Amino acid sequence: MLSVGESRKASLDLFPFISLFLCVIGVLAFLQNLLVLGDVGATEEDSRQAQIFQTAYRIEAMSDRIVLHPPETELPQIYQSLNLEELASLDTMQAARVADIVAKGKTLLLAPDLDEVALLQALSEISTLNHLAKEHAIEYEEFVLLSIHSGGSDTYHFLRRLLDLPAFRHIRSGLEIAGNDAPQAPTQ
Amino acid sequence: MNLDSLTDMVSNAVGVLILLLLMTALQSSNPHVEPPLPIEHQSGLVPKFFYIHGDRMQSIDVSAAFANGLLAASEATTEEQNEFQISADFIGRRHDYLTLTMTPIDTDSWPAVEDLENTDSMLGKTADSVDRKKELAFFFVEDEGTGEGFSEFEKARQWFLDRGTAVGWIPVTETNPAYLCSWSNVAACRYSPSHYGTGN
Repeated sequence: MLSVGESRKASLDLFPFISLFLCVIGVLAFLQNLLVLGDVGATEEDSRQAQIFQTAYRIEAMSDRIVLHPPETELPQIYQSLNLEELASLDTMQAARVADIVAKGKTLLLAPDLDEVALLQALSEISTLNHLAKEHAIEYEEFVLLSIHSGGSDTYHFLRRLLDLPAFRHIRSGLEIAGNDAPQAPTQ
Repeated sequence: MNLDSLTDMVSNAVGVLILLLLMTALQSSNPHVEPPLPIEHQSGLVPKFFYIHGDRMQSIDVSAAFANGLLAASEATTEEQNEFQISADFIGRRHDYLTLTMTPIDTDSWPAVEDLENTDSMLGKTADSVDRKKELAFFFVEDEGTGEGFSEFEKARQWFLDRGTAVGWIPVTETNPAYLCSWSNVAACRYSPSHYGTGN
């Protein structure tokens, strides 16, 4: 049978264990803090993070044609925020875009006459969508990604001049070198 | 006193710590980050110009180009004033006092893109001197229709990106040649990076 003094001694022996345990928890918490701080450092590059909301409308520039590739985005947030009038215009636009996506791009031949209306229409759509998204505080922005094929540089400069027009100057743009999988010219 | 339970808990905690450390180390050594989109963006970086013709590459000294251009223009006859040699590597065409377009000459004597690796070469020294915190590498890439210039540019671009230098570029042709200008209100005179470096 334990005396009163012996039982007090046994409970005191647990303190080193609790001390060690708390130390370990402290180290774990410290490590966790370091990880969180690391994440904060990554978010400091705000312009790169902003790219998460940017969606590419790819335009291929080739020597003889331009191919429009609307983004395959369904825009659910925008649909939820718009009024009926805005929804109607967006519906028409999305239907045309879906047709272009299904056809793997809308091809505009440069010769004999470029369908400039279709090209300007595409840029206007981007402008309208960006405007709507901004108006309804939705984090969504389309930008034009000019995809240049070998021999398509003069076409690129033509597109660049269009994008520099006051109506489209606010649309962001980027350029990339196109892969070798150039789409074939449409049979007409 | 039996220390088994204490040892058990401490070793468990140490195990968790080691696991966390491993995860952190793996994350930092192999970051799964998508490459940034190549969107042209505003920056305060000063462009340092390079020209790519096929597998050849040359740096462009802007101040020398303008100085030589003005000198040649002052010495030339009236009909020659618009086109003159601005360096051993380029023929220049003057459009106004702040705009020059350039056409390369004698490109066979230019260094190859691979010479970027050679820090003893003039091209290697120039490329190496680009300060990623203050400058960007801006390329005029000649589109000769074969795609060689583009693929060589991709190598040069990667060389700079590996060093944390931002890169911008524009394709050039005979009808849309390389231009040097400093009109801040003209879109064509804004040399913006489209690939991020780590210095900006």
